[in-house]
Amino acid sequence: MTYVSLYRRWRPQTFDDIIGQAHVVRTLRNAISTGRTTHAYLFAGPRGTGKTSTARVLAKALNCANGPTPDPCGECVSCLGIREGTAMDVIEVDAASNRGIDEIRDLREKVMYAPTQGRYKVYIIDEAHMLTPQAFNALLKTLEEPPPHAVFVLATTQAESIIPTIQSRCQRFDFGRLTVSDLAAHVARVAQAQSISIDPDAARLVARRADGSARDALGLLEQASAWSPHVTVESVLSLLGVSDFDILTRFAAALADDQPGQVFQIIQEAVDSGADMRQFLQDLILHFRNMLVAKECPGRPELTDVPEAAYSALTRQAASLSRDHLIRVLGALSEGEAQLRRSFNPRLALEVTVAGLYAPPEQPTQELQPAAPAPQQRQAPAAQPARAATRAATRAAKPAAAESEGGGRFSGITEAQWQQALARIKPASALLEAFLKDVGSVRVEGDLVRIVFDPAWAVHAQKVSEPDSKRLIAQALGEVLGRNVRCESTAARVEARKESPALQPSAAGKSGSPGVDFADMPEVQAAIELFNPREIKTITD
Amino acid sequence: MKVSCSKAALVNGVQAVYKAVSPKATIPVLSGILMETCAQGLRLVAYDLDLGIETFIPVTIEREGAMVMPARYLSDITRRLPHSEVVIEYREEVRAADILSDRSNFTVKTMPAGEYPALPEIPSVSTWSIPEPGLKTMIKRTAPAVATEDNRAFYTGIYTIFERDMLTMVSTDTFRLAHRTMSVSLPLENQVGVIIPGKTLFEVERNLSPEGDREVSMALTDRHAMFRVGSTTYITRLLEGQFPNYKQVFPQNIPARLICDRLQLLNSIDRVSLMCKDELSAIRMVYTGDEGMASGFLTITANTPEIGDARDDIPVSMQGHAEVTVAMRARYLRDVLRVMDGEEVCLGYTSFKHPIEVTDEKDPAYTYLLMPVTAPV
Amino acid sequence: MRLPDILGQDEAMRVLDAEIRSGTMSHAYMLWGPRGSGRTLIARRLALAANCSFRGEAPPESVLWYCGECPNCAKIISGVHPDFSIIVPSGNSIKIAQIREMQLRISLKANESELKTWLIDDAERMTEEAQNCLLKVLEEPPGRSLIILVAQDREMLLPTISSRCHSVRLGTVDMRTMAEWASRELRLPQQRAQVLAVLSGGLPGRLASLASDSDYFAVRDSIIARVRSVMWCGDGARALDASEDLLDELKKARARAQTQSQEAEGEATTSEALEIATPAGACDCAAGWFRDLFVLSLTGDGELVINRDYMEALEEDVARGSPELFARWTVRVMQTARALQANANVRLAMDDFMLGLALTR
Repeated sequence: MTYVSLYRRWRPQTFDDIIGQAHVVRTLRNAISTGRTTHAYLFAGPRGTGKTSTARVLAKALNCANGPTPDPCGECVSCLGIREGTAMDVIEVDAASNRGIDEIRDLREKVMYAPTQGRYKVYIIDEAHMLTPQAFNALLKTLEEPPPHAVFVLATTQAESIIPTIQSRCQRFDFGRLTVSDLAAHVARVAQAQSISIDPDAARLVARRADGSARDALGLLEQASAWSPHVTVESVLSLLGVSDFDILTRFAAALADDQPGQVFQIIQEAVDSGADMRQFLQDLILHFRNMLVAKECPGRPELTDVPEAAYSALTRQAASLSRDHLIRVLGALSEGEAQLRRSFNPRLALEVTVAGLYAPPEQPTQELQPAAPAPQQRQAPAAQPARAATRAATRAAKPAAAESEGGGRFSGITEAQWQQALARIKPASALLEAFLKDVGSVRVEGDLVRIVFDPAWAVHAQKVSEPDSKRLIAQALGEVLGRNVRCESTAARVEARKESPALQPSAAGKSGSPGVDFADMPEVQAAIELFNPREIKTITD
Repeated sequence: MKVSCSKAALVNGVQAVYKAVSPKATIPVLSGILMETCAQGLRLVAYDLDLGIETFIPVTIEREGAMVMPARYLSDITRRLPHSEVVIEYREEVRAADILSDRSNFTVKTMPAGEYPALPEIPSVSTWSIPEPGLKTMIKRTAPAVATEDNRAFYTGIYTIFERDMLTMVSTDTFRLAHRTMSVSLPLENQVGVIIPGKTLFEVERNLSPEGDREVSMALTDRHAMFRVGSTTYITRLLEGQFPNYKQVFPQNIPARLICDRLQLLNSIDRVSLMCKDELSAIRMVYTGDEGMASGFLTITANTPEIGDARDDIPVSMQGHAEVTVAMRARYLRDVLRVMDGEEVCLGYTSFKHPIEVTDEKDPAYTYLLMPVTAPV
Repeated sequence: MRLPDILGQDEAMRVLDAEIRSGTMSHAYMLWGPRGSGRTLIARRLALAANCSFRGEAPPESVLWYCGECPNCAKIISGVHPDFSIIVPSGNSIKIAQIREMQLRISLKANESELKTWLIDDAERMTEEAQNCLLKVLEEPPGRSLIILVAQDREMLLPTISSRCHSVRLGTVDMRTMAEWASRELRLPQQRAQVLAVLSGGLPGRLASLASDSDYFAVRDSIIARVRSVMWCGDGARALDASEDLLDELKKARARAQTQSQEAEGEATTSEALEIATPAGACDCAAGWFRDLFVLSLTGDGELVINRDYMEALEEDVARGSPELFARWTVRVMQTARALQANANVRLAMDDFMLGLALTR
């Protein structure tokens, strides 16, 4: 006899075997007992919650030789056939491979055929969200007028992708994530039946790590039971590659003691030990969370994931850190985790996150003193006064020139429209958007947009004149104005850009205010957040 | 290696093994045909790791050797050779082979024979023999119900049961089922059932002659099946899985049987289904009898609102009694009528939702069931 | 016959080995971790250990043992086992047709071994359709089957896929082991071995390809040079020029590397030069530079530096800036890299980045 994976061996065969979906089971049992089953079901829920298994049990119940019965015998030809996957009237369609209209049309025609062996032809359409819209529409007709012998079960992990017209024709059952205690009990029951020795704490840990999925829980139990003859919290943690408690404690201590050298050494150590940086960061987050829990809910070790032996060390460390500090670190690390998730260089992302915790607050915040907002500058937050003044000065100078050409800074376009266009440009190029804020005048004449910069902004004008920039601007303005436009950008006296004295004011403006141009760019804000999360509040307020 | 042979023998040999060539294999050598000299002449092998075919052709050997030729070129070239005699010479130093015929001269790059995987070994101790025409009929009659594609792969094979005195083949795609038996005499104690891929059996059937008097040798292991016809051997992997319990599908106590001319029915279906939208559509059959009901007409209709409709009457006789009104996919009935060869065909009718049993009085060992369409057509 | 030894994945191999020994092997595994960590090698090793005809005779202390002599071992090692199949991306992705073919073939009984073994390499490159199509067979493969998925990151696959597999993560290897291995096996001088060990980020496969790729270093040199020439220059025009020049250089280097990899046809190694000579690769390289500046300015510890062959230049730069500035640049370049990943306009993204570099102080 060959070995069969636990999750296959323990696949529910009766309604009683289905764990954690009491509402689904009760409703289905009642419907079968009273003969009020319908022709279309939608089973929605995350992986490993029992959708396909329940569909198979339903098929058994409907086609059992002694049925329809909520308690199929499990021994008749039909029940055995469903169990072995050889029942001719239970058709499991994987929607991914049969997602097109032709396949569904074929299925629709085939549904018209009478069942060969049982009472019903049961179609279990797994991953139903993969069907194309055309296929859904084809299926819709069948769901509207199903032949009396047909039962459809659409199972999906993404119910939101199933079009409403289909949903409204199905009786929908939502399969919830299994609770930790349901899963832990399941794990313990299976372990006992399989003669696997496991600590109750370890069973809970396995359950928690399975993220609501019975299949994941049994998979992990199986791996853990091979990994060590007696499954303990420690053995599961080591199997999962969870960072060692010691390294987390040292990390937290180095952070608390303001020892940047040590922090980076510890990261190096983690890298050397082959740790996954994302896992390491997640473990750090969990560690700080555990400390917070230990601090706020003393004497409740079961609320943390740490082994009993380590709990007192955790409490001690938690006592040495302030609540605010813990929350601040947690906030920064969680933010960092989101960054790391998107990063292709995880180690770097982690290091930058951690470094943010160390940066002294003065330097970056200095740039962030909100400027006394000039009335026309509601849009420019967090600009340094000197720079803002320069900006205001150039803008003040401009209208005079623009006026003489007729119209204010904006002609043929309102300032609001211009701002809308900028908002569209920003995601594509934050820099371009920042430059365009310094525009002298914008004039729209027919399909031509003339963007004029003050000579002080020579670099801006050059940048804006580039084909890619012009394309972006034309596209954004086109969308706002509702017609195709082309654009042209000029600045007076652009020649001799490197030597031009015209550059001086801008250079001077910048010298005292590093990065002012960028202060309102999201990435810089992200950096600032890293340095001092408390300061974010000042900005967003 | 250097051999000479007749073009016809070479072309036949290449075509015999061609089905087992794997054009897109990850192992490049499998896209070729192995050619090697041996005591029986030239041995040709193609093997896609699922099906292996081996054949021998008579050649005059001037120099022994082996090589693997790209199958597509070998096939295309040999068929177009100008003369009835061919010389093939492998030149080791350039790892290429010359194919010479009359004044045509091809040089084709080859692949090393040493890399070609060996065919699975089938112990020759217990081979059984089955007459060629008998096996051909078995396969031909069960072929229509083999599924072409299904995520349950056992539907793409033919369930073959060997018993001491009986060979049975069953196939089903869950909408129809074909069942054929033949008497044999096999040295077996217990029954053995295996699922043989349809693809293999169709290839074997293609090379069997209905009038042939050869014996097909057969052998089984726990994972392979082997057929040998003349000098050609087919070795296939068996399909995994358990075949469905099909016996209960056969209707008991059929109340009425309609008997009609097979070709007449076939032609009538062909005509009427012109008004079907496509291959998937169904036709409808209604029996109208005379007073005693023993003879009457079968009215066959097809109706597609956006195209039009068709109607055909054919004379039939009825044994037993029932109100016959039934709908079915035209193709399912047509497929079986085409592989039968009796003059008359008998349709057993139980009810509009029970399988129709199609039998041929000339071939009592054969039963074909097809499921009716129960919904309104 | 033997496979090459596997460097520094003892833990992962023991997890796999434990299941073979206890007879509770799953039918589906996912080996995930960074490319170059030895993933495919371990997958093949797992296939060997599971298929070896003499696996019952594995010595007690061995891990993923195989005899190397029996026909199963010999054929798996030489890649001709009729029951061992490998699926790799066709073009950029693994397509549904490939999975369908697998579905069909895995339904046949094994030819020689007791197991049918399928290795799906770069599994995260399965299309969404292909992944969904795989689910059924991955959960309940017909007969005795072993399906091994090799992937970069578990989370790049559908949760329904990873849920059906026993997952084992492969990590990076520590620098000392890497350096020792590089000087022993690749016969590199000690100092170079150390630089490569750090640069390769603990990935033996990457180290091996770096060692034979001088173009990589040429490209890296020019990226660092361009970046350094712009850093705090205060001159926007110069930054835009540098951006253009850098993109040109990358393009040329890419063309060069491409011709070379075409000439070395058949060798399925990834060219490191080809990787770094992309805008994203350049960003990665620049990020490493800023990170070094940042860590060095904060800690002064040379042992923590990645670009160790550039120590002097790093120290020079560190003297001129502050950790905050270096951190900001690091964040900045990573943003640019992300924008590029999201198909931003390359030219604009690079200009943005270089201008930021020039104008921030």
